[in-house]
Amino acid sequence: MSEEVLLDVQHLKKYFVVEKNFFGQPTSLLKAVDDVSFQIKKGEAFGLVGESGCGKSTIGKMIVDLYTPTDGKIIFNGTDLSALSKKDRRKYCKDIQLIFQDPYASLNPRMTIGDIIAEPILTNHLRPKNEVEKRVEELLNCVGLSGSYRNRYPYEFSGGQRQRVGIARALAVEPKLIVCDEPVSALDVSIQAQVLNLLDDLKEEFNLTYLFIAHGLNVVKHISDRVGVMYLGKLMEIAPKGELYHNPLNPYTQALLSAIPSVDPNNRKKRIVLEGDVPSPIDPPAGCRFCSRCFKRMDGCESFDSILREVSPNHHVACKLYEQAGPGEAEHDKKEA
Amino acid sequence: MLLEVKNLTTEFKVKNGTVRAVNNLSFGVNEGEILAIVGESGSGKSVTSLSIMGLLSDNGKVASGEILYRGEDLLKKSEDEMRAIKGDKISMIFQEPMTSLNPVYRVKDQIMESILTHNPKMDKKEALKHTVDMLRTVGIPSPEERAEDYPHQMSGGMRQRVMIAMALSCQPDLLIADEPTTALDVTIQAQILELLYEMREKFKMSVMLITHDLGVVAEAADRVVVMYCGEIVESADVKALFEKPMHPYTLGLLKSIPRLEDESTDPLYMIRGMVPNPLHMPQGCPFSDRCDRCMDICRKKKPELRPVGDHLVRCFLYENGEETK
Repeated sequence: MSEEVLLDVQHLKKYFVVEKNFFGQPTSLLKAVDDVSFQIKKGEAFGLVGESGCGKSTIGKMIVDLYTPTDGKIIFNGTDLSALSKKDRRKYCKDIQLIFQDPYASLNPRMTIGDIIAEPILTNHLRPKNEVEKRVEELLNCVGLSGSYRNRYPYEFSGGQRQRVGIARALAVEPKLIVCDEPVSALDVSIQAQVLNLLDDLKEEFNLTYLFIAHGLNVVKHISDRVGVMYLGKLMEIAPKGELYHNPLNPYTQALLSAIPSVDPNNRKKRIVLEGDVPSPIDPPAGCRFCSRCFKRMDGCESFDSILREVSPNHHVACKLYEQAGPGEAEHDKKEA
Repeated sequence: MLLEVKNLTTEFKVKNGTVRAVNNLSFGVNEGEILAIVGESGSGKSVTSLSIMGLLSDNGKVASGEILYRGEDLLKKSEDEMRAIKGDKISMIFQEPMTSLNPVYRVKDQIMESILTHNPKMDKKEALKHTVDMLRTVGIPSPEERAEDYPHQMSGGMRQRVMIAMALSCQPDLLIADEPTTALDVTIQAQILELLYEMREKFKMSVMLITHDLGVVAEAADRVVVMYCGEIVESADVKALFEKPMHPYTLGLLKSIPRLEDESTDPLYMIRGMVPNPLHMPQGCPFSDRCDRCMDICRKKKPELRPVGDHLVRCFLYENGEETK
């Protein structure tokens, strides 16, 4: 891992319009991602964790250009992607690829595995036509499938094998960054380990950088170097993985860690069980988004601006409890300006 | 013993032949215990529960065996007799709280339906009161108002609570929970597991918990049955199973879970290959192709389920009652 930043996400926002008035002006907004900033270094695996509806997949989709950000910058290798025209933006699609969650829905059932993997190579003119077949076999071998499978259709494969095909398709264009959107949550336990190991090996082999999106902290732990925890469109905590798992500071991170069932029946821990459900992102609570469910709630949380503050080196937390830790990022930016 | 399944075999007719989803399965559920049935997709764990409830699809049928509930064979009961048992004595909650509630009826009507069916003498007012009480018991805030909601107005966790309220409304002796937390977020999963545990204490019922998540098993179960390809490969008390897993499959499953305590960056342990096609089962032990400790005999003969210490194990490694090194 180098110090060079590959992806720099700054104050990213995505609002969906839920209701419009007579004049077409939005009257109700769903704030899926609300002012999120993080950086991913070259060769790093950054884990993004949160429950359904927290905006983690929306971030992934904005990075691969499936959604247009409402506001904010996505700086990839020094270029601000959000400022580019549609045509120029397209050139970067090759460098940033996505692996989808559902291996049953993300492969075209009418195309053979070989055609599915060859398509991005042909669209991007990466190889002369007569070499494509060889390249497809190479890619299939990379992900642990036999090259002879290339004439088969997706329905002939199991979930784990299909996910491997999805990975081969992402690798086909030799990307620099891969956004993995819950790549193992649809798979059986024994197959999950296989796919996680494969992703780990490929990262070494092809010098890849990952944005790894998942809903459980245990899956992310193995593969990521740094982890960010999201709740209702906001980042709550970012830390190197060792630090995050040993010394979680935000109460939400503590609750998420505590909710993972332990695999030791002698150690049925007293869990932190959060009350209630995640509030709707259409009318999120004022102040800290987590305050309606937080077990360490105190006065002032309702008016706390959820800004990440660096509490210890590389450990950023957005929580009223650590307000004294120093100036927030926003204030930093102001000073620099 | 509350429920005893004896030599249950369930088969499905498919285009290319007959698939035996559950093969000669025997186990029991004691009064007041939580029995977990663990296995991956295709291991037959859900088919087992559907066979007990008599909910198999048209192409499936119980080929042989007995399902004894308090000594009476459920398979010999008529449809009317089964209807009186289902939802009253034995009830079930499903994996998908999104699809298992009827979207066009209010929550209260759906819960009242099951109460009124099994207590025909009860009047509607009383049934509604009972419904609201049940919703309160499962931890739904302001139950009087939420009872008027339609399912789409509730979150996944809430809907699962409604399912649990419905299943418990007639105070069953046995609750079959088929992957009750799989579709839910981790923090909501913790809430629902806690609730199941409380309800078990409160209503003194037995629970058959079907899951693929060994974490959930370790948290909630008293006894565990591990299934692979329609057969039991190991069964034991929960502590014994996690302390000393014997069958290579159980061991592999346990080792392949990413653990929070694990600090190493080594690759995760993985069980190689995948579950065999049910139409082309290997001749010997169904796990032999994926097993790290496969021996010659494993490919030729099928091992029997035999007691080893306080476990039941189906593996040639334990042929002599102890582990062959």
